[in-house]
Order: sequence, then C-alpha cells, then structure tokens
Amino acid sequence: MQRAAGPRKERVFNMQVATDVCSQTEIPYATFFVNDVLLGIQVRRVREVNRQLDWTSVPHAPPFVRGVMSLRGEVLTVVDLSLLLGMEATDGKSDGRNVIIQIDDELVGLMVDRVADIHDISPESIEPAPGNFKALDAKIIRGVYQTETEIVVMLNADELLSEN
Amino acid sequence: MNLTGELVLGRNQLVQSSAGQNNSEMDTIANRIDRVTSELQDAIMKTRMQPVGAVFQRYQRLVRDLSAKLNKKCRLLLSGQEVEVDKTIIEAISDPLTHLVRNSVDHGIELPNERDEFGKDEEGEIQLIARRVSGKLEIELRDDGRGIDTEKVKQTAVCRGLISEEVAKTLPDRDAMRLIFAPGFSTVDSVSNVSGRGVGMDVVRNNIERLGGTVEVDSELKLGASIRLTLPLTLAIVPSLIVGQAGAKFAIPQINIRELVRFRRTEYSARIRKVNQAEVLRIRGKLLPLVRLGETLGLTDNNTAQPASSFVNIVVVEMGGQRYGLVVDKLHDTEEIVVKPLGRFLKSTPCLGGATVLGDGKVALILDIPGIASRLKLNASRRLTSKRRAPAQVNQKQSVVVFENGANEWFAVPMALVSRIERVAEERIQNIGGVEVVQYHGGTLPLLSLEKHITASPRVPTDELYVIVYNIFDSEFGLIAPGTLDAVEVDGEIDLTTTCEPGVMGSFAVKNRMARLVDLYQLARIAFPNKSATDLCCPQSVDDARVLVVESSPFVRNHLMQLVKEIGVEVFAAEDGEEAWNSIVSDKIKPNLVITNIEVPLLDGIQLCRRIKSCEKTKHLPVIAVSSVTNEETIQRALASGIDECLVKLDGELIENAIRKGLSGHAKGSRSEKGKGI
Repeated sequence: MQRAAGPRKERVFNMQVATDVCSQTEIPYATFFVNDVLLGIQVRRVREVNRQLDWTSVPHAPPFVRGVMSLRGEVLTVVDLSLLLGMEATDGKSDGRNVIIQIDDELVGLMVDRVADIHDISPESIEPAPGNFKALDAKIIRGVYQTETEIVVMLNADELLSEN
Repeated sequence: MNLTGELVLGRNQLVQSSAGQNNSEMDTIANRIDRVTSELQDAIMKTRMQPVGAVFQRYQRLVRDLSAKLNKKCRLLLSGQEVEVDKTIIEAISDPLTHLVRNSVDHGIELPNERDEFGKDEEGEIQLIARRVSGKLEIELRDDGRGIDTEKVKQTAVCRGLISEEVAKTLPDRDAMRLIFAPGFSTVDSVSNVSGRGVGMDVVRNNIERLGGTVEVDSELKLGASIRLTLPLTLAIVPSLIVGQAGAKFAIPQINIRELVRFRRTEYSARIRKVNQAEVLRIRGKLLPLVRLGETLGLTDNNTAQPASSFVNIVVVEMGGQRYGLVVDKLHDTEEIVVKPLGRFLKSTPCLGGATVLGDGKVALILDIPGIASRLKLNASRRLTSKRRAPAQVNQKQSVVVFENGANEWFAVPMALVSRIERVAEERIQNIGGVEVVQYHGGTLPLLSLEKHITASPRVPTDELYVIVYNIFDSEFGLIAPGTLDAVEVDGEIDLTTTCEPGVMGSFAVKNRMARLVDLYQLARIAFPNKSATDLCCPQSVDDARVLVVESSPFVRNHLMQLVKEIGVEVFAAEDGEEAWNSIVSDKIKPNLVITNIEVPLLDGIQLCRRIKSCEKTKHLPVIAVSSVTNEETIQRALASGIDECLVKLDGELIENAIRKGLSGHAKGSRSEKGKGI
C-alpha cells in the first residue's frame, strides 16, 4: 500500500487500532451519502468526483438510470444509486456530486448527495449485512463496516454494474 | 482514428461557440480551423479508403480450391472492384463474404452432371458485385445454382423447433428464406467440412448488422440465389441529421435518411390521414406510415407554454427496403458525429443506437431506425410498401368498414372498394322515381339501402347518416350506413355459406358480433339491373372459355370465382402456384386464362407466369395477376415476367374488364384456329 498521501495519514490515525495493525491488507474505501445512508466503494474504482450534473435523459432506460453525459469526449451513464438500491429517489440536493467509477472499460457516474471520507478498511473487518437491511438490494452489498460513529454499507462494484 | 474523431468534435464546438459571439477576428480563426480540420479529416479518411478489389481477389482462389475439392466447376466474376470503402469495413466484411462464397459453391452450385440435366452450363457462375448506391456500399453475391428450396428450409426450421408446423404452412417464401439467418440452421442434410455446420448465416447477419448494414436474400428455385449486403462506407464518423424533440436532441444517421418533408400545420389534415389510429402520410400518391418520435420515446414536452411550431417536420427514413416517416419537433443542422457506444445499462434500449457529443458539448442520442420499426411492429407496413415482404397472410387479412344498419344488425364492406365516406343529413335524401338519391357536388348520387335488396331489417332512423361511396361501372354509388362506422381487420375466418345470398358474400365475427360482408358489386347490379346490363353485355365468343383462379385465401378465391362465373365462363380453382401449374400441364383443366395472386404459396404468381410463358404449349395463355401490393416495382417485375395484366385485388370491375380483355384475345385466337380448321 503505497497510496498513503499526506491527508490520508490523518485519517488513518483516526481509525480503529485493529485496522491499523493489519495495514498490509487494508484497502482504501471512498464513502459518500445517499439518502443519509453512508456507502463505501473501493477507491481504486473511482476515477474522479465532480459536480457535473448536466445529463441527457435516455428514453426507455431502466428507472435507476438518470441519463448519459459527456466527460471529456467520453459518453458515460449516470446512475441514481438510491433507486438502484431500492431506496427513495434522491431529491438532487445542491451539493450533490457525481462519483465516476470505472468497471472494466466502462465509466459510470453515481449520483450521490454528499461525499464523505476515505477509510482504509481491511477485508476481515467487513461484517455481513444485518438481516433487516431489507430496503437495500442484498446482492450489491459486500457487507457493512463500523467506524466509531457510523455504519458504512460496502458496495460490491462488480455486482453493481452487472446486468441489473 | 479516435483522435480524428476528437478533432472533429472539437472543431464543431469551436465553430458553434464562435458563431454565437460576434467576434469577427475569432470567426476568421474558427473558419480557418474549420477548413483545415475538414481537409485533414478528408485526407485521413482517404488514407483509410481502400478498393474492395483487394478482398474480392482472395475469393478467386477460394472458389477454385473449393470447386476442385467438391468436384464442381465454378467461375467467379468480379465487378466493381475499384469501389473504395473504409479499411474497417473491408476488414469486417471479409469473413462474412468468405462464408457466403463458400455457401454458394457448396450449397448453391450443383454438380456438373446435375447442371447438365437442368440444361445449364456445366460451369456454375458466381458473381460478386460491389457498387456505391447513394452513399452506401452495396455488395451482391449472385449464383446460378439450385437456389434456396423454401420448402426444405421450412421443414428444417420445423425440425429444429424454430417455427411451428402451422406457421410453416402459411409462411410466405420471402419470410421462409429469412429463416436461413436463424441461429443453428442448415438445409444441407449432411455436414461437410466446407459448410453446413449450422453456424454461419446468423453470424453473417449479426456481423453485417453490427456495422449498421442490412442483408437481403432473394432466390428462385433451380435458377439461383442472390444475397445483397448494404453497408455504410465508413464507420468512424457518421454524417447525421440532428433533430429536436421535446427539448432534447437526437441524431439520425444520414445512411437511413431518404428525404425530409416539411409543410405548414394548416395543411396537416390534407397531407396526413388517420386510419384506425394509425397515421399515414400521403406522398406522391403513396402512403407512408408515420411514427411520432415523441410518443415512441415516451417524451413529454414540458414546455407546453411554447407555441407549437407552425410547420410539421417529417424525416422519411428507410432501411432494407422499408420506409417510414418520423415526425419530429425540429430539424437542426447536419453534423458529423462520432459514435460512442451506450453503457451496459442502456444496451437493451430498443430505439437507440448509441450516443455522441455534439458541438455544444451536450450528449445527443443516436436513433436506431430499424430498432424503432421493430419496436412498433411496423412490419405490416413493410409488406405493403415493399415487394420483398409480401406474404400470403396479407391475402387473408381484409380491412373492412363495419356499420350498423337495422338495430343490432351489422354489415361490412371491403375497405379496398370504398372511395370515400360522406355524412349526409336525412332530409337531403330525395326519392326520384323509386330511387333514393342525394344531391352533392353538383351531381346526383344514387343511394342503396340494404333492406331493399337483401334480407335485412329496416335501418334505424337518424337525422344524419353516413354514405359509403364506391365506384362501379364507371359511376358512383352510395351505400347508406346509418349507424356507427368502424374500421377493422378481419382474419380470413369468413363463413361463406350460412348467410350467403345475392349481395352478401358471407359473414364473420367481429368484436363479438356477427357482421355480414356486403358484395358491393353484386348489390349495385341487383339495385340497378338496367345500368349494369347495358354496360356489361357479354361478348358471345367467350362461351367456351375456362378460367383458372389461383389464390390461397378462400375468401378472395370465392370472390374471384364468383366474378368470373358471372361472365358466363367455367371456373376452376387452385390454392397455390404448384397446384395450378400441375393442373395446367396435366391437361386436366385446359384453361384459356389464368388469374393468379402474385403472393401465393410454393410458386408465386410471377414464377408461375414465367413457367407458363416459357412452355411452348402454354405460352399463349393469358395471365392476369391480382395483388394487394401495388407498388411500381412489383408491377414492373410482374409485367417483365410476361403477365398480361396486373390488378389491384378485389377491384371487381377492373378484374372483370381484364378477364374480358384476356378472353377476347383468346376468342380471337381460337376463332382464327377454327378458321384454319375450316
């Protein structure tokens, strides 16, 4: 893990001791809010985060697809995570962000309400999702992770973009 | 290549933003960059253009090797080798073409001794032709081999569970031929190491369609087959028309665009007709199905405050011989767009073929013109507009106008015979000498009341009633239709016996009611016996005539037979072309005239006619063709095959005249023969 940059160190410092010990296997996760739920996705999946919210809607698209947009000449699909996860639709808050992730060779934009933090998380500390997480589609959830104050729902990016 | 695409996009953006800025210096620079980019683009495209001959040459060897291996004799003729297309296209067609050429040699061309038996040259001929047709590349592979046996194709398809037996029975040859493109299909009984392994044609089609092209197949049994590929000249940069709908922009590739039609909204009702909720555009005497882009894509215009444009814009698009009109809000500019694929979530969207970034940086979606057609099931209209897709089912489907005469008594008339429908106030109907008439357009229209001529209860009195106007014996008649009018399609299930009487053809069920199909022609004859008698005095010379009617639909067949009977000649019937041909050559019937539908199973009307005209014994036999397909191409093809007259089906009067004409020719012929005898 050669990725620890300046600001990251601070965060690592804040982390639980347990994760600090087995830093060898820690994987950095980017976290963000969708409808007050804190979600996490591996940082290596994230290409960039921007405020570009100017998409073209696509007729006959699945409901969770907001539309398509151009990112420096590439065309990418913008997905509303809240609908994909079976939650209520986000209301498109003013500080909404577009988290652009890359799966295989394809770019997908995830609409999120607010970007939170980056956590280094070791796979062992990810627990299976509690059984009453009915609202969220179980397949695309890798598990949950507890920080001191929050519960992060870890997304499985590969499942996220498999055919529905 | 991608860089060129990006450059073109950047140029488009630059030109657009400078145009909006009123800065003349900036404009000059933008224009220069625009010009240089265009030249650069042309130059790059040119370096990518290669003559197709390079690929074609390869097949010489393939054909030589294969025919040696299979003990066949074939020669490959190439033409249009100099046609230049983009490198990517050349690469992409090389494999599908290899497959098609192999197929031709292996399945198409017969062994030399077989060819000898059929009276063909021992050496088979395969032609590979490339040509540029209106900005597209067309490659045709033609052979003079055994052709595609549609019966065998159907059998195989049934065996492999691709279609059911019932479907196979009614499937027209054209559609049967398309079955060869189904996955896992081969008609050759045994697998050879050349072809016949059941993979291939579907891959060929997929490859071509992925390039935005189409595949068409045409064949005549024992005479050969032809496969035509239509492809764009380049893939990377697609000239497209940008259209606007509900505030969004869409791109339509120019390869699909036939023409643009624009007229004032005030002319709307004159140009566009609504037939049972389907809108059609009348253009140069033909009807074109219309598709509203907004409705198809489920777009709603949020901007209702904005007044609707005073023009109607229609983009006439075509693919594989099928055409339709796309109604759009706005026509923007043409732009050279770089096609970007849509993401995985959007792969299954049926109407879209991709996306592109426009000059203003926004994403526009590219419309998939064939996709829209198949989503809306426009196939039926294809059958009407194109000769290639006219199956026998059309015969069985009759459009009729249904109306109520007496209380709960329903009648129908064939749509094909109706010239127009008028609304007339009851008080305007006058009774002159026992005949009801109505004055209109300065003339008198004789009216027919059903209850006066056939068994029917009197009509329900209303203030205003409809009059169905139709033309027979060169004059107009109006059939009074007091009740509601409705246009419906009837599928062949017509009971021709139970309710049959003069003036009624039969009965059928429509929307849980029984309706009787009125024979307008006979009705006019019953109502105005004098009129028809003067017009229709039979030539005496046709007494001994025998007419063979070839028609697969029982409904139409009976109608035709009745018409012919009324002339006073003997009538025989055949359900398909093969049966007709057999009865002609076996001397069972010895007809003097053949009336055939062009779309009959097994052997279509045109093929039947060719056989008749090519046989010494029967070549004098007049052949009249009837068809629901009235396009110029079919008629030309029909006349070229020697058909004496080509008519629109169910137009009773025309058919009768044609029979008379044909028979009088026969009468002359037979008379002169008699003369010789004496």
